[in-house]
Amino acid sequence: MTRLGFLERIPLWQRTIPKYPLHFKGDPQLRVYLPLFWMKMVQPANKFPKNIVLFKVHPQMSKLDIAQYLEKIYETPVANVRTEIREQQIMAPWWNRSKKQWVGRKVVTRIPEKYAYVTLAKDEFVYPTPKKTEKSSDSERYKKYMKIREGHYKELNEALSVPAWFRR
Amino acid sequence: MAALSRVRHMKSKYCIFQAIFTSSKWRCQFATEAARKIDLPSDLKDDAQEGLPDDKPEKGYPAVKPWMPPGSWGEMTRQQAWFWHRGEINHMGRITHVKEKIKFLTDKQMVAWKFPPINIQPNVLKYQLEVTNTILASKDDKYLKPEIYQSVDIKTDYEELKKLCIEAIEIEHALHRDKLKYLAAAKDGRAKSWHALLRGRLLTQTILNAIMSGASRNHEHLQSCSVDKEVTVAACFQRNGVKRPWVPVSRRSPDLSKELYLQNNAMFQGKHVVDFQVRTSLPLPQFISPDHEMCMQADKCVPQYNPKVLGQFRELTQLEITSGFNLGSPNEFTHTSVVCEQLGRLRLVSGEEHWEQSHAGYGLVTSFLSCVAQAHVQGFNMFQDLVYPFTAQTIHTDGRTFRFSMFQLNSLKLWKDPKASPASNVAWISPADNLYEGLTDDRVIGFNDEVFQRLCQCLLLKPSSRDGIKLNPNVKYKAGTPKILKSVKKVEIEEEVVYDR
Repeated sequence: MTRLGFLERIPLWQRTIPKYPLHFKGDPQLRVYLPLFWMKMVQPANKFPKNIVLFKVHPQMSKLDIAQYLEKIYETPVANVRTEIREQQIMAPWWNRSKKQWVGRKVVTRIPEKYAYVTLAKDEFVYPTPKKTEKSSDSERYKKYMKIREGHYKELNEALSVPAWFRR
Repeated sequence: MAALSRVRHMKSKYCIFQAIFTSSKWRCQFATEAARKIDLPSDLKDDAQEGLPDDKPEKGYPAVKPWMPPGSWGEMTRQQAWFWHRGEINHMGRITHVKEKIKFLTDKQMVAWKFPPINIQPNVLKYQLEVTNTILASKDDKYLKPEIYQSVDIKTDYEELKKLCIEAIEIEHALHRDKLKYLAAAKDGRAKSWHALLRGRLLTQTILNAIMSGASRNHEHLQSCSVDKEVTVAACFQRNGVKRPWVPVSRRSPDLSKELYLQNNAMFQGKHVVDFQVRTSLPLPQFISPDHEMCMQADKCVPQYNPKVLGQFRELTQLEITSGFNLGSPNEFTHTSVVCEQLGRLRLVSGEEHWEQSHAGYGLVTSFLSCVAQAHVQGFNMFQDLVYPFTAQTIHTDGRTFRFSMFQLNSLKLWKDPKASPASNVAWISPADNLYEGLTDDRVIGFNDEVFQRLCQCLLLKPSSRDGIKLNPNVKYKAGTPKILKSVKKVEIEEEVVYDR
């Protein structure tokens, strides 16, 4: 068992930031190396103006943290930040019994996720739509899949020498 | 199991049979049909039976309900359209008291988008114009004044009013009012915002008092008007184009179906405090005809984005509609609203462009909420649309810088899509301009006549009744008048006994 112990099971991007003391004027400046803050650009489901971008951020990031993250690291001036916490419902794992809830017939646990609507001061950005690769139609792909599946079953039946009556 | 099902089947048949014979309607029908079938001898026949026709009576079916109610409904479904039509006829149509109408609309808590006049989000003016269904009247980015102001007579009193105004400013600065000289530098952010607000209110109050008292001699509406300070104005409305928030099934009302919860119109609630409000007994005249092409451009004002994306918030709140005075007051129509908040801190932090948008939007939304609240006091609402347009004026000042915004409300049916209701509202917003440059040796320098003329035109615009149109057609009992109940027992004296003494 390492020094972190049970915390190793939680991935780095989900770990909570430890509390640090408040800074008062005159105190030595606090320095945090490699903070656990992260931001991920997300494609919006609804229509967005060109100067507003949607990010998924670490739940402990404040509006000021988000604005400074973009201004200092990516040098993009920010006009406004609006945050929102959405709860994602997932099936409750067996080891997290205390945080589960019955929703209908399912047992769910709620994981809070933080989203930030960032208004850019000068730039404009439109989330790019991925190019559609040349794929065959759905029916052709289904036929291909069924052929492969039949081939697998044939090999299995011959390997196990299954009589013809029981073959799929 | 089969026997049980047979018993249940027989039982159900018996129940139906029993129900038929116990209802009196069916008993009568059976009796008459049975009597007709039996051929009785002539001396036993009842006289009443002779009059019965031999043919079966025609059954009277009720009138067929049309697919959609009368009027235009655009892209609404049948259920949604009938829901709104029933609200207009069955609920609102039967309420004749203003207080009860407002109570019917606001006697509930619901999730509503906040729509305050002071909105510090960037690029907010376009969003406010879309939500209020408003067209901004401007030509080549230049401010256009409504033509009605040209008919306001200010020449007779102009010189006297100018003298009074200048004296009022000089006296206010000469008195020991705490450090009014900071107002001379409008961009100076060193003054604290609440200090600036207090000073602005004091100076504005003296200027308004000077002008209104000097001009009331020749203008009757100023003699009988009411002026109130720090008045709360609130209004709520539903706007098409914004989806309603999702409500879990456990919290939905059993009377409303899923379709009614998924309507494409959401509730907005706006509330703010006006520093000074001038009210009169008659409404302001209309600035533009409701048939003008500018008033029929609702298709250009559809909200494009969800308010959450633009940094707006929503909350579970008690709905509120107040026009700023107690119901029953003789002065029911708002003549002018004056607000003194200048958003100085926003100007320092965010820049001139951002400040200009928020400052212009402040006047726009103040006028809009004032119009909507006035309309509700006269008995109009989102079910019963306006019969004449409502107008409002807002002066945005700190005593030195003035901005004028005018608004005309043409329709309260903002919940209908543009195909069904093409009526739009119109706004005129002037740029911010200084009334005077400053003071030296306690004397005003650089007095701006243009700004002073506009100020006088606003205050001296005469209110008037609408030709031939009743101002409150949906109201029988005015607020303040006692409601007389019909069921009053009459005591009839049959005999009066007089006793001997």
